[in-house]
Amino acid sequence: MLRFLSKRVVQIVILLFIYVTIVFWLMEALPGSFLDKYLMNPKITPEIRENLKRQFGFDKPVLTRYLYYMKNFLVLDLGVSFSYFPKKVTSIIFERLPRTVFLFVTSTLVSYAFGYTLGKRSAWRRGKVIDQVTTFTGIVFWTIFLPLLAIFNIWLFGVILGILPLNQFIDPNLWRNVSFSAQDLFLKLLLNAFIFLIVFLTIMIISRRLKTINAKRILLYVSLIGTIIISISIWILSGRAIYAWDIIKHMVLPVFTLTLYSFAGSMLVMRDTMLDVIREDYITTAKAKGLPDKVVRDKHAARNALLPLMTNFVISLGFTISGGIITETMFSWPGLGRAYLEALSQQDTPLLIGLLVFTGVFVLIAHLVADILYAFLDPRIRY
Amino acid sequence: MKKVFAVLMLVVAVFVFAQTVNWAFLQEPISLNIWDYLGPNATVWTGYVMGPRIAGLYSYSDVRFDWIPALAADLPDLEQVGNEWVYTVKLRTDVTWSDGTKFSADDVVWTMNTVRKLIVDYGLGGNWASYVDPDYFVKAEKIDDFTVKIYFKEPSLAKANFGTLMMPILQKKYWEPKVEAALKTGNPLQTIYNYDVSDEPILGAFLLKKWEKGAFIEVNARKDYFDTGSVLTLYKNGAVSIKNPNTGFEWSGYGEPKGEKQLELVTGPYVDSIIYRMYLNRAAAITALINGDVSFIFNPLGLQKGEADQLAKVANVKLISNSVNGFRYMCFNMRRFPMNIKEFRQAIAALIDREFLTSRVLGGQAFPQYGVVPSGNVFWYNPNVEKLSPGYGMSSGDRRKLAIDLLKQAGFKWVVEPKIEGNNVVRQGRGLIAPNGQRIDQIELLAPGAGYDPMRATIALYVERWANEIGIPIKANLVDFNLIVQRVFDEPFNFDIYMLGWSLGYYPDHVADFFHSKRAGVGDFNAAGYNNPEFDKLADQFLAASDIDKARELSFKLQEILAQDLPYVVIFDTPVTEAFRTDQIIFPYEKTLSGLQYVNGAPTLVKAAK
Repeated sequence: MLRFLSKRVVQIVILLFIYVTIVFWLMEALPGSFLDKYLMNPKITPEIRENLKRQFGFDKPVLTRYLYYMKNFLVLDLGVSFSYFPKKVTSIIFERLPRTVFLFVTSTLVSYAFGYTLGKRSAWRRGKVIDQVTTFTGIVFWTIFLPLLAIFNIWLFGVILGILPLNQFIDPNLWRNVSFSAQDLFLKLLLNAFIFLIVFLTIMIISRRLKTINAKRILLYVSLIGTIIISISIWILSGRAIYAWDIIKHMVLPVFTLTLYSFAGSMLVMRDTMLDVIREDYITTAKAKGLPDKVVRDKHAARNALLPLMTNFVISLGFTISGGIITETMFSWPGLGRAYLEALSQQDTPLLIGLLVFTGVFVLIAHLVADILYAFLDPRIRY
Repeated sequence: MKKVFAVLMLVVAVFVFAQTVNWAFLQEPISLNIWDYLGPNATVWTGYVMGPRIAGLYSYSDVRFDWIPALAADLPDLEQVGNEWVYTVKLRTDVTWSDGTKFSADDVVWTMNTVRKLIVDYGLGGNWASYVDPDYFVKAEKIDDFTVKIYFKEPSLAKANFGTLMMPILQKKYWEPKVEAALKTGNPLQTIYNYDVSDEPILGAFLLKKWEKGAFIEVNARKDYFDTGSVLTLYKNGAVSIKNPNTGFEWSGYGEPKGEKQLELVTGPYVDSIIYRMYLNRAAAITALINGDVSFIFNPLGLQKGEADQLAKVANVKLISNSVNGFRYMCFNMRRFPMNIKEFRQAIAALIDREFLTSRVLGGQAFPQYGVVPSGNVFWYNPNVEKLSPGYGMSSGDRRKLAIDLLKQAGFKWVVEPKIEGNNVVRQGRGLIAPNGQRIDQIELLAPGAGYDPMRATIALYVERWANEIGIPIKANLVDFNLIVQRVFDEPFNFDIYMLGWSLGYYPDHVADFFHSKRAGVGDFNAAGYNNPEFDKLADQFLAASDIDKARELSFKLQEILAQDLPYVVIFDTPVTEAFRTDQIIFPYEKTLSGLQYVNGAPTLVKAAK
């Protein structure tokens, strides 16, 4: 395993350098440059433009710039953004990262959980109404034009029903007089979610040692409910619960929209794998033993069908870092996806390369994690 | 106990009666550091927030855009001292910074001299260069606490009055130590751009309260704003007067302030705070306006037809439309044959029926433009250029006949000569032969594609069709905007004809920038390569003019020359349509060049609706 891991890490590093090189030269191949916007201002003479060129490093040959970039890249310096000059690319990424991670990880989790549940149920009742309705609905939402779905949801829930905020990630009227920033709160919410995950994993490990199902259940529910109550209490006592709630309230509509849009992917993967699994002999045996349908479906079939879905999920988590241009734009949730769009439209090469590299690193890591997870989930797999 | 109660009541009153207006932005400003904003990061969105924070010695009046004193007490006195021209400016004595410091000549002198030093020694770029041109500006000098002398190599309305004298003034006490510290670093400009300016004292009416990145910016009105209560009166006879009963400041100019008034405005601010909310797409901002979350949408492109139609049906939402200070045009590469032949350019211009294009093809969503100074810039626009434009007021048949005659006049021939009867082309021209006997193969018209600007893309196709009908082999090539910019400005004039657009300032010195022969180098703004000694001479006189009436007269002549020589064929522009909630805010006026967002939403004049 260790040998496999070290081999994969070396592969990832090589791949990353190839990837950065391709991205750099692709950006160079685009017509025009960031400085072209100054061509629209007749007050900026060619001499001043030359000065600006020097400031942004455009006076050097492209090969020199490439080598300079790679040298900085080796020490994890992604350079200075042009459009946010002279802000560092890393500071822009880390400013937007919490917003993106919080929204997209939540929606990925919800979407996969929803897809997993519906997928296993529709496969179990193949050809029945529930199977036809979920498959049809999933496909409809999967093929819908996302901006249209977003506008429709905003209109329905924000304007007509008035039960959810229309846009943005906070309500300015609520946040006007607070001393902390939304960024602080996003980081704390992420920390809270991380603690929750650790608690959940710890309980799962401990519960394996318990002998009865009831004991396992009690430990699981009590611990999770306890963690939730403690978290909420801390938020209330800190006086920031209302602000955290405001962010969560603003997140409902984008998460709902993204879930509607993407749950079909995970649902169909789960359904197809389940359909294969339920034809296996051990499922027939389990049924023949007189086990309840629910137990056969959830414990015997669904667990074995989980592997491809899990791989998809882990790789999707890697991609959540890149955010979503459409979702972030439609819901005025400025994250990394929006930063991509801005960098591309302004030809802000350092920012765009920085974003692509950052996403690339996470996707490559996600692939590695998926490989490890395979071995963990399926004991038959050996590296 | 009573005191506590009184304070409590005051706090409650502030919350209950505080008037806040919410405005929608479609993009977030980048930095409120003025060095950065006027340096490499000039965006219109930053400008909307910076506008109410800054002040210069002179400014424009509302609506009419008269050049009037702001921090200055009077118009400048100009005299020649040796080889230099000196503008003496008396400063107002009733102005204070937001930290309570008195505004003085030290601030003015430090700002002007420092900007020049940073431009010359460190390459400070961007829009600072619009204010301080080291080829003209020499230095600023303090005479006493409220008088400065500003030295120029030559007198120039463009470089002095509408340049340096309008630049934002920074507080010396705050900035001097910061700039000196920055100059000791390895990269002074980056250090200056990076300074956090949340505590910067300002002269403008609105102080930054909170910037929640990605969500909103809130600014609070200053209670000690120097101009509060000031009455600006524009008279129909052209005179302007400013009276501030609070401080006793009075000024009048441009004639006797008497007779009928065109406009009277009392400066506020009338609202306690403004919240600029960030919406990242137009649909979201429009929904927020409909929902009453915001009162006004900032959008330099204005509302599209569908959006305006949607908002027209909403109660308490009012739509306003204003002409813009810009134009979209076609430029000939006069270094190349046959674009260097005047009659050829005139023939193309004659074929372009602007009225037909704007009213019929573009469905009334655009208006025709004829000259290089937009018609909306009333003071500087020469109305005669319309009549000088070839084919003006003619039918389509007559336009074609005129174009054919012009080409024949210049010695062009055809293999198959076009024939026009009435408005119809009964025989399409083919094989255009130049006066030197050379066959003209193909002329490329570069224009932005439909994704970038469907209007220009459509018009380019019409120009191609009309030109081909009389045998001019124009081929419209709809390409990416960046590619046009690259071929026109980066490569050595690698184009025949291109189509782009300009947004302009009030003072029309762009006429000299775009067409003076000394600006015809690679990457400079005379992309046409226009070279007319008579024009150059007049343009030099225009740039050196220190009298506004003389400058206007020269500007009119320049426009007339260009309307006949046609290095550019100016075609059209679109009005800017804006929307606001009448149940939430009241603007003091609605008709203004380029719309209310061009004056940053008139923040010191807007009132909350009762």
